Amino acid sequence: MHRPMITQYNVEFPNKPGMHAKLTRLLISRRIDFKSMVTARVGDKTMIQFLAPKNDALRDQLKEMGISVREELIFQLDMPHRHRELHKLAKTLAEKGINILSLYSVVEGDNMRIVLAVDQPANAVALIERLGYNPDYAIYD
Amino acid sequence: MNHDKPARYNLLVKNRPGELLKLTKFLSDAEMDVSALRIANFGASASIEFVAPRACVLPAGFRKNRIE
Repeated sequence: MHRPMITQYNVEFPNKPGMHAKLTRLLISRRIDFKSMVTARVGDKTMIQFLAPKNDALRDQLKEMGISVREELIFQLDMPHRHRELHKLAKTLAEKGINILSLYSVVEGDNMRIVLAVDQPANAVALIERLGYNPDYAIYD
Repeated sequence: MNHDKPARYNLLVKNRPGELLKLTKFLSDAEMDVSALRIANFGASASIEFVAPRACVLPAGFRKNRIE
């Protein structure tokens, strides 16, 4: 069975009554299995970031509703759950001027699984591989 | 106060390279593991949310490390 890959959606719309409700109604009516939703109000705009299976129809419908949509490539890696490892990752990316756009983590036993979006994904993946991890763009639900 | 009790922190930082590094350096120097970490960017700002032990020690460390 084909499973769509997970992508990160960044949506932005004016701070007007009802806009947030329209978005959530759409996600629910389309049975979008969204995760890790974060909402922020910035000036006169509302910005929402969430993970969901890649869905071109959803993106098109959001645009039709006047909601600005941006998708970001994400990748995941597993690393030992130790503070030094996380610091090594942050240091490696910072030294090359790579900006972390978003990061999600979950601790599973002795490991920490990290899902990342960065501004230079190809460079970041190459650097992370050199650290000895196995980053993977294929993220499924 | 129970220093081992985990606490959740939410920092607002600039959306630019190196901001997470300030936090991980502090945590690594203090030998603290985070049990959850989440970063989200919103325009010029980014939020870093994390859960760490020995919570009462952290705020002084953040000021020392100039994490905004």
